[in-house]
Amino acid sequence: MGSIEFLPHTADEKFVVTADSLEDAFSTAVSAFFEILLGNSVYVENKITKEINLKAKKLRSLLYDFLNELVFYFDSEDLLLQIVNNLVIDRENDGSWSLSASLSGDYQYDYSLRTEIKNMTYSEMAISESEEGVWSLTVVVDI
Amino acid sequence: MVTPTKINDYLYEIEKKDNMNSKVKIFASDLLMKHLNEDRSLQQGINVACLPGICGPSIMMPDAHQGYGFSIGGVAAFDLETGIISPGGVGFDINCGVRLITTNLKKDEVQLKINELLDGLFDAIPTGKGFENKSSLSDEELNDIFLNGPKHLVDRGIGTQDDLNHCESGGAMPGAVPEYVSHRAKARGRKQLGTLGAGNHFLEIQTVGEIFDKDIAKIFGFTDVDQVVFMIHCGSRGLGHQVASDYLRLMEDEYPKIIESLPEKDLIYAPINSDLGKKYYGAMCAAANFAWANRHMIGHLAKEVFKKLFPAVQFRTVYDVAHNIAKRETHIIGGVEKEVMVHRKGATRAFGPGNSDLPADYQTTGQPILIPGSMGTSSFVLVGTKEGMEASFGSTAHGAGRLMSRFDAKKEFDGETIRDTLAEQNISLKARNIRGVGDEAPGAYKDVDEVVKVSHEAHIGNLVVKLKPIGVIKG
Repeated sequence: MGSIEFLPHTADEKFVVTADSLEDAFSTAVSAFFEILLGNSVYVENKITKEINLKAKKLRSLLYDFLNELVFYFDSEDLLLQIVNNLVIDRENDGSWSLSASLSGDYQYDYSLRTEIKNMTYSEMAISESEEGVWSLTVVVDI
Repeated sequence: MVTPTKINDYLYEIEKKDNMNSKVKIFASDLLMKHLNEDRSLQQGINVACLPGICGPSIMMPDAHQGYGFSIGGVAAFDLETGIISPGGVGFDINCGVRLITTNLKKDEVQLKINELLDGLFDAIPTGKGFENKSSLSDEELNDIFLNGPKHLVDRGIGTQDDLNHCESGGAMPGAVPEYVSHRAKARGRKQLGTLGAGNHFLEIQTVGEIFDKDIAKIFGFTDVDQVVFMIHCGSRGLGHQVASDYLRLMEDEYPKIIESLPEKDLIYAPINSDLGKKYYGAMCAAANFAWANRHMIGHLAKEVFKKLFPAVQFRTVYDVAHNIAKRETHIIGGVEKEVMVHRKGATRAFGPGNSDLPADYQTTGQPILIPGSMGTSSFVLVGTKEGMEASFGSTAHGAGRLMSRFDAKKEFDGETIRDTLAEQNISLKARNIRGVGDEAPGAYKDVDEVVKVSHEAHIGNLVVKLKPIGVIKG
């Protein structure tokens, strides 16, 4: 598990996650997402699982699509998919990216939500890897 | 650092230079200009002026502030042949907007039952989270709403033809193409008709506080000071967000060189006459019509609650305006009449008298403009002007405009203290989550009085009435 830092933003929520691998960074971004929704150290029960498979030309698009899956399942099926398992990110030969993961969680009804996340944004999105292999993702979500 | 030139007390301009295709026009007082210099919104106004096919200036409204791609409070028109359409120029909550409904009730009688009224409204209108038993729309119903907006509901006995007449575009933009709305967008919207959503969206019970223009106020349905009205502020919910997201991603993949060259990725666009541009417009119109149906449904649910407590109550829809939209409209640009794609992002259409899109009873007055304040502060009704048609493509502000980040607002204001402060001013607040209220504290917003003053003095929307809140429902 990487680290999460929340930063000031005029209208929405902005955070930076850092982790030792790209997979861990994406996974930590899910934790940050649910910290916005549920508050600090609130964990949902593991009752239902969705298998996610994504492809994107750019890494930033993969991150955008990945976090938007969480918004999608929240709106369409009332699910809080906070638990990430078997997250694998691959670079294809043509330079594009693919991601597979099992996202698990619970229906939202028994949880007190702090806000609603309306969508991902590309605003201020930044993805970088340091020479030491530490990944850093900057994300703004629309609330 | 950009330094706009002051043209008069309510107008500034940034002249066309470098790769700009037009100038930037900013409706602001000195005070509002000070706020604009504190974020990147002026640069965003310039970025819009650089887009292909822009006709006339990139315009910033008195409540402009930093957004994604386009600033919020940004208006720009594009040539239908050479111009572009941009999801970020519409705003991600497609047809976020405002509906205002008057009653024949007086402040005193409603104030006596305000808690029962708010409890009833709170139960009847889901804010969008934590509700299990919401009915789900079929594909057939959704498609009909995409094409016909609130008429779908009126056909089923919910609301009246008068409600449709008093709605921008009659509640149904003709360009909607249901097939261009993805399955994912439909899945997100299926259970969201008649829901408010969270964030800055609300339903507010208000009273007429001050009448600035008696004759026009009367035509709009305002009878006297202390008359009770209610205001609904929300949009197309997850459905509209998904449409925006889907097309942002499709445009990004279709135009990789363009997106890499843009200063902000959220500025991505497609030519209006490209396949993707046409599809986005068709899907956006569908989402916009869904949003009008959503506000219509919320209005209906609220009316039912009023009727239980006040059996003799009567209602009239003043108007319903979109403030995140792109529309094909005819304007006079440089002395020539021309059809263009007007983007209004966080800006309200403000058509003057005699426009064919206005209902018969508003032909002489011009269009009602509904400007919600921030939580607990006044809201305003303005009227569109002839001058505004040329000065701002018939557009004005849409609200107070955020000043302080949610992050800072949360640190500075706490929800419960705000509720107590509002209670001292006789404003009752009911929120799904009181902790989230701090972010929306009145102090986190610009002064809406200053925003409407600039609109009035610049003649892009003239003051008609001031509305004061007595009860607020929030997500």
